[in-house]
Amino acid sequence: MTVVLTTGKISALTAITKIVSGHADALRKTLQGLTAANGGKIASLGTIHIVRWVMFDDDTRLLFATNFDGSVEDYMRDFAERAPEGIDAIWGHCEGYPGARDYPKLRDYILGSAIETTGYYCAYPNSTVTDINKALDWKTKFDTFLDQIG
Amino acid sequence: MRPYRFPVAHYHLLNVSDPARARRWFGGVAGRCTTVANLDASPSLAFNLALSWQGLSAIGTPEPSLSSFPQEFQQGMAARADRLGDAGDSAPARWDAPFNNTVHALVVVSAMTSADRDAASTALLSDLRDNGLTAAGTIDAKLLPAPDGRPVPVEHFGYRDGITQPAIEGSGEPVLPGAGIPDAGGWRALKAGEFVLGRPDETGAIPDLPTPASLSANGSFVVLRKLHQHVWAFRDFLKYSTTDEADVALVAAKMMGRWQSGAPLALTAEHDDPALAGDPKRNNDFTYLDDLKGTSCPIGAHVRRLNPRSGLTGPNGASVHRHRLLRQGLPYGSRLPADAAADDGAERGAIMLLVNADIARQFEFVQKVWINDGDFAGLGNDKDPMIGGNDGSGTFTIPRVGAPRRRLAGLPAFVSTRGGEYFFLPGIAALRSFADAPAATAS
Repeated sequence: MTVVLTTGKISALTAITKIVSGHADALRKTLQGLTAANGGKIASLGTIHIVRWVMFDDDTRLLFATNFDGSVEDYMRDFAERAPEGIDAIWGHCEGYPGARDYPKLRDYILGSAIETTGYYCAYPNSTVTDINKALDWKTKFDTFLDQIG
Repeated sequence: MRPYRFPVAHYHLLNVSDPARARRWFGGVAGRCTTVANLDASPSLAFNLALSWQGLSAIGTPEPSLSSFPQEFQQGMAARADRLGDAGDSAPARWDAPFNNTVHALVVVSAMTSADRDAASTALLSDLRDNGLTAAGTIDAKLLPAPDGRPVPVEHFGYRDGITQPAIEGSGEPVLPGAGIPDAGGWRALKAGEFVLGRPDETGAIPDLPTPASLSANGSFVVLRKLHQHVWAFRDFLKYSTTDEADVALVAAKMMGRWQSGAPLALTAEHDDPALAGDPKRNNDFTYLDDLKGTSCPIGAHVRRLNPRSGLTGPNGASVHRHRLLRQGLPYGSRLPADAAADDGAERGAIMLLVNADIARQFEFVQKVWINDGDFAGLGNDKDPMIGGNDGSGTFTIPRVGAPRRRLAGLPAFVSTRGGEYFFLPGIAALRSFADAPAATAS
């Protein structure tokens, strides 16, 4: 899977799909709603650092760019099982989308529309989302502790 | 489908030399293969046949059918080494014969006595040449003897084995507490489709089958792993990582997740409890829900990794039931004496048969994520302390109450892969049909 570029524990994936004619407004609404809801179920995956969708080319194409922990295969499958309706709500507006309930077809669709990541830098390549959240939690607790003994 | 256990077995690895004859023989042995119906009669002998993808190809299975099987099964276990963590001492280039070469079929002969098994194996092997098959190798496996000579279900490291099996709907067996999925009312069995092709799985749907359905329906996939156990290295590691005899027992139990008797740390965290271990209604009745921090049973302990139950906080807990395996393990080689003063260099370990409907989603996921990665449970770089691919720099974390966590460092591998393959276990009807569809007309 050469379309996935990995540095340390973090990988990048970028995919471009065609938006079905007439669906741009509905897709925009879905993505704006997702942003307003802080990603909705994305946080429940626990392995996504950042994900970005960009509608471009006069609203005819959708760019999906993400940074995530672990193997794309293992986690995409779990996400597809837990939140198929969320995946449908986005790529259901794109051409050729097979639906999220048939995992091999979904994988082939996303990876098949992925493009090479040519350059990549990550400031914390060996820290997972879990590591970072845990470190932030400890920092908060440590500050509280220092406040209490100070 | 139902797990069963016999004290002795032969694992025969075969190759096909004459497709038409081999098909006829496979069709003919269908009548001898063990089914759930036979098991109810408590047989003294069991017989099972499974084929690798190369084997299906060698008997002339038509191309459209071959290419409809999942990619990982087509590739075979050796080609999946990167995913499985089979590197270094475990790399396929170092595997034992016959796994260093193509293997077409697996025949498992299981029996209550060595005499019954040997007689059945002798008959089988003398039958092969006239039937277009050659023997590539046989592995002799049997339960290890207790000090009094009686065979006991204990593996080479000295731990009781085979306590947890997933309960499966329709298996005809009662759901023992702990055997299925934690449920509002206690425990429920897993859907048959997690282990049998062509049945609804835990999503409620029937996944696409390899074609034709007459070949794949009621079949399953069997993963064979030949795992060498470095018993001396395990004992040596415990000696220099602990303070005294009691600490050896505690640290080893923390690594395993169960005491030597099989009593789970989740239920008895301070000391072994053989009475608890011997009670099938109690010895598995826990979920880790009251031990999310792992102060009783470490989150990274071997048995907790292989079946995290309800003990995974965060998102990874939601899909535990989609990564279950039916396990059958039997030791090979002789036991390293308890008073051994040095490593004897002998070959010893376990032959594991892991049954599942989806090798990538079940076996490979467990091997890659739960055994060889720590991030699914917030454990960083910790791997499974017993069977993970450690290289001498492994770590294992033991959370404690009222004291900082204890961390073991410098873990080597206590297990090395010595071979293995992915096999397809056809249903009885499919096996019979091999005889009706000779390769010449099928392809």
